[in-house]
Amino acid sequence: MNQRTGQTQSSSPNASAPVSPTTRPDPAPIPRPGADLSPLTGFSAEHFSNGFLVRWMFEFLRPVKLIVFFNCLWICMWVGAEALTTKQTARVVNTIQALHPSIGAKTLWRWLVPQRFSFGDIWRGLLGRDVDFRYQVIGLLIIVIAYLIFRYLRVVAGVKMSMNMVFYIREAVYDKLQRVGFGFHDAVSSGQLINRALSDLQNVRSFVETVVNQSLEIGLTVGAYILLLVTISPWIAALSLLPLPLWTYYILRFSKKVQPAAKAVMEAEDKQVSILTENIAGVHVVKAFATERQEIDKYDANIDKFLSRVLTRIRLFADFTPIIRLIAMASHLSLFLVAGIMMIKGHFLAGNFMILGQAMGAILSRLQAVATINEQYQNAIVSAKRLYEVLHAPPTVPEAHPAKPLPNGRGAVRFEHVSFGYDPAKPVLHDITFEAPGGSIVAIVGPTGAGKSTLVSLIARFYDPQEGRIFIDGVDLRDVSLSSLRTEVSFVFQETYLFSDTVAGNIAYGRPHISAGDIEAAARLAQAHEFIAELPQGYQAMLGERGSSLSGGQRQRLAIARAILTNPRVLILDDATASIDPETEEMIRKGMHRVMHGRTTFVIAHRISTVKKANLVLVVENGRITQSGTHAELMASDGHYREIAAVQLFGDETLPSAHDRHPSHMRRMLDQHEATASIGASEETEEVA
Amino acid sequence: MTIIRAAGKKPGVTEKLPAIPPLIDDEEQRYRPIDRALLRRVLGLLAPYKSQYTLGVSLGLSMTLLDMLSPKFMQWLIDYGVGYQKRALLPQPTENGAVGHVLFLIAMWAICMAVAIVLQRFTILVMTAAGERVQFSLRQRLFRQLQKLSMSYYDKTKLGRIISRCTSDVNSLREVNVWGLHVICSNLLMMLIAAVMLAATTDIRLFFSVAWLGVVLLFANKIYFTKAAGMWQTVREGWTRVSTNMAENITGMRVVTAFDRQVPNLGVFNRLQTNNTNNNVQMSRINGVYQPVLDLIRFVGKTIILVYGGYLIVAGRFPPGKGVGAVVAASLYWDWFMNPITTFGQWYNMLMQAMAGAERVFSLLDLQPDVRDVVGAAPLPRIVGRVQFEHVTFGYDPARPILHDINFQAEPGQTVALVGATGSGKSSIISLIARFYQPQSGRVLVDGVDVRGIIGDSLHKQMGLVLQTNYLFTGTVMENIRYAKLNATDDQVMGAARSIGSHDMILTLKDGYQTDVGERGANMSLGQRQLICFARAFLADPRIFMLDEATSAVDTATELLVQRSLEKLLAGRTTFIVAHRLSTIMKSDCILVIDDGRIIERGGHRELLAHGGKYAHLYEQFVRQE
Repeated sequence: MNQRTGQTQSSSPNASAPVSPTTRPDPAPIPRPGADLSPLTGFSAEHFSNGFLVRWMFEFLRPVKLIVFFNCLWICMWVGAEALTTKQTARVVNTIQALHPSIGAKTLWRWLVPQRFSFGDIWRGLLGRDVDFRYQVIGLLIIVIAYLIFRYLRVVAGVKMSMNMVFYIREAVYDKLQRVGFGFHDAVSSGQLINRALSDLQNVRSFVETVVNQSLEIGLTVGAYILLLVTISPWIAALSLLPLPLWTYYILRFSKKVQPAAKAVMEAEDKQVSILTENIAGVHVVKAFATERQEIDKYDANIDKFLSRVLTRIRLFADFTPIIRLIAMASHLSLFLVAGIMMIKGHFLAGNFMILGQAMGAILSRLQAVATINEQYQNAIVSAKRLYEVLHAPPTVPEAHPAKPLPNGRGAVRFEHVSFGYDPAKPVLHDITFEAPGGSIVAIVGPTGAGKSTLVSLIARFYDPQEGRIFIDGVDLRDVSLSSLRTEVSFVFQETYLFSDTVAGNIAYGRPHISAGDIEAAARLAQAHEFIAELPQGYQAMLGERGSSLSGGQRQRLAIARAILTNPRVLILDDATASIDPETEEMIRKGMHRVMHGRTTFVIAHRISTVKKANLVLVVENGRITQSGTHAELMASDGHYREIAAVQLFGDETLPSAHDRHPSHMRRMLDQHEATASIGASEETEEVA
Repeated sequence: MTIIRAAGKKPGVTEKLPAIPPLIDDEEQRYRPIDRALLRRVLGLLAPYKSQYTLGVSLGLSMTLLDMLSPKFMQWLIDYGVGYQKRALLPQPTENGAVGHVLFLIAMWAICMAVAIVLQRFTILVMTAAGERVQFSLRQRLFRQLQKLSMSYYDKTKLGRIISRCTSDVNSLREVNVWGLHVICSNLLMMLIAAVMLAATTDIRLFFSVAWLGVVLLFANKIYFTKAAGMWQTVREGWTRVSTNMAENITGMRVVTAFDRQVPNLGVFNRLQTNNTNNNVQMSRINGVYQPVLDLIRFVGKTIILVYGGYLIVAGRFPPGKGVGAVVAASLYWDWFMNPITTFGQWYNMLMQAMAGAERVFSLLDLQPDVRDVVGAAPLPRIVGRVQFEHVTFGYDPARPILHDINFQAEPGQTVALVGATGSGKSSIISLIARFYQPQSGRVLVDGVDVRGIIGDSLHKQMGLVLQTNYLFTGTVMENIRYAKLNATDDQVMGAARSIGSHDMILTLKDGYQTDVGERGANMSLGQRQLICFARAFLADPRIFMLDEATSAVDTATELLVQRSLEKLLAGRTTFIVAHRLSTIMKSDCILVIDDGRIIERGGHRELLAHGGKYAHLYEQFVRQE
């Protein structure tokens, strides 16, 4: 990231000759913009003016005001010292010009060491008064050392400023993202958000940083050197100003032309990576269909395009470089010409030639940064808009003021006429009303997309319903503090998410006061202890993207352990066993009896055994509860339950049936279940014992 | 500023801070010592473009030579002017004559520079054209190699690693391949000429009195790069932690919210950030010292030159008409002399990175595929589809066999269901039939022919595979089905879709067959992906078909459609199914019950039930649940 490989900005070998822009066509990394979010989140920063956004970006400097001040101070000192170094070098050279052969055969050493030493002379040497050559040299060394110290201070202060500034922005983004609510995250993919949090932030940061540093540096350098030139001759100074507009124009034009070319290269490169990724991710398909040749052709076609775009960019570079160098050369040589003529006509000292070369080189090279600022400005405006949208997005689930903690209770859940849609115009749940007594097991069945997951996510207040109210132990969720609610309502998601942390760390998940014993107890309860103990480092084994890989069932059991660790009064299992093989599922199922004990459990059911254990079964179809009751009641009643249950709970695992008189295979399923119901019941009692 | 204030809230002091998770560092090496053999191999990449490189380097050298005349022109100009002022020129010209001479000098200078500029343009064009072609041919070779490698490579290697071979590792060679020769040659020339000019314009002793600083600079560079590389590593690690933490928090945001972990998370994040800030400041201190030290060495040299030059004048060692201009030129040549040393320092660093990249690239290129056609492999004629396993033992790691002594025979047209727990070896059997791997012992026979002795492509062309993932490529539905048979007409593609009953489903899509499936089929539902994959497999018309049944449920209507088209797809082909559904298992001709890499039971459904073994037990488990 923020590495500053220091570029030698002064005393390049070309100091006396035209400066060349970077000799190599190295593409500056171009930020990859994410898609526009505003239509998704319903909040847009599109209408803000650029001026507003720039001001907004500069607000980020406020917490680091002091560092900014010092940073600027060191830049001033540094530029001043640099100009003085040039001036002093020129004075020394001028003095050399005035020297005459005078000492005969004296050695260098005897000539150099002065007879008497005086600090006053060094001071006068620094001020440029007419003093001995040797004092001028000492003065030069002192200025150089000061220049180097300021340079060091400036580099460190620059990084400090930048890092501290970005610290606060990052913190704000991080905290915003983890508090903004599910609605926002549903609308924006994690990939986009990560991109936003990393690259958009980077763009804004580097823009603010560059503006502060570079504009100050450019202004001061140009000013200081022009001043130096004025001390030599106003005419020369005026002449040196002439090519600057042309130079800046071409630099900007160059960057404007190069940007699209660089973007095209980047696109081709992205395309190449995506072809590669697809090929490797789908290597089974490639091998199975023996289509390697075809894949190679596809890749080659892309890479040809990639190469031709790279060459186009280089050609552009090769076309512009001579123009820019030509302008630089013309400005240098015209100054030297005038200086040369002035020398012939009257008094122009040799050292001043050095000032000319140095000044022109410094001015032109600093002005090149104008292009950088311009590019960064354009990127930063786009990024700032997106960052603003994130930072100012209204939270989807606002905390009540004042919020009270959830009162004690057994976890009774009541829905009163709840209607909800992710998009208010398209309700997913309609008028849901039910009551689950504390400690009960509630099974929710229904076809895919009926709204089962949505229903349970409302209990943890991941969303607020548009209509109706939800109560836990008699209190409206909207009056309860989010933190107390979510400690008491635990969720096991459809897909288990594990963090790059140890097993123990994933179970405890950020709760430091939890002892190893508690973690183990939870793991045992979730039937996870056995496989954890078999891992190489047991509870200290690393998980996550780069850690050991666990099977779906193992991950699931970890998630359950995590959910029950704090002994929540409401436990929600959201389709938790959807993609696990039967044997693992069986294992989880056995453990779940104990897990569910003593709390209200909501479970999106897949197995008939679960449904049978439930105190309440809710049949959800098209966002409505069409039937509710116990399994036995529902089976007895006429309704869709029997058919829905058949399809939903048994999938297509058709069992051969003796009762061929039933035409539909769904009916057959049900009968099969009835025939085997007694076996299931006996197992249940066994486990409770 | 509301945001900053809100964010500035520090986590509650009462809460004990959670531990920062340890970082598993499996980053690949960034640097590698320079290795002669490796370097020679990298240079070998350039060989096909020998003439371009020669041209480019000579153009570059001529440019350098012309550029290096600048200090000399400066000297002539100054010495002429000073000489004129001091009336020391012999013969002393008139004022107009002198101005004419100045004009002449500047004109010559301008010509030299202009030629150098033109040369630079061509150097850029020639060098980059050659270098970029080297880069791209390397990319092509890598991709071809990847197509050749066996599945075992892909199992062992993470996707990200493979991608970085073809991207960052190749890119790390770019600088060396494009500019390496130019930089080395022109910088060596620069040093040589600068040294000669320094000695020639002033005094050989002056050259020696400053040349030692070059050695100091060399060491300063070395110390800096060693230190910086170490620090850079720390900075990168710190940054990886910050960005991973952030990315994880965003991806796992549902869990964060559900468990109310916002405050402690922010605490951890800010500690990682603080650490990152400190690392960066530390790094900036190293950088901040480095540049001034370089400048200091340069200025010390410059000062020595100025003082010594002054002495030479005072001591009357310069011939008349030569003097201060020569001192100025010497001080400019001094810069030319020192710059290459810094450049070499940076290049050394870059070269070490390139070496690390080159080593990985070459080792990928050197890999031999585990499974490849033996010499004299014969193409497989149209098969009927009999598959036999004879005493097959296999493990991805030969030391840990996953399949032990597997024997079975599948008759043409039979459906064989593979049943067993996760990890029992079902998928490995499928992989062996597909010849993705070679068994360590035993034989896999297709139509009585050992698959080892046949040309892989001829086998794969008669084989179909559909995996749980239902992998689709970016492109349209049409393109994805046609993937199986590139020369199929649109009608044939639609015919295939019609035959297995996915045609109607495809027509309901937004653009029918021209619907874009999205990256890896992201725009399609699970069921739609399955149906497209079936159509693709059907179009290939394989004799042997392998299916890893999807476990995830799709909605009822699609599920029925999928089942129906599967039946059509399987009709008349030898089929192996890694089965997850009882209905599929019961419909199959033969069931192989696999446990811990062995076939423990085999036979039809009723047969196995009667047998009362593991299968019967499993079955009972299903039934009991329901």
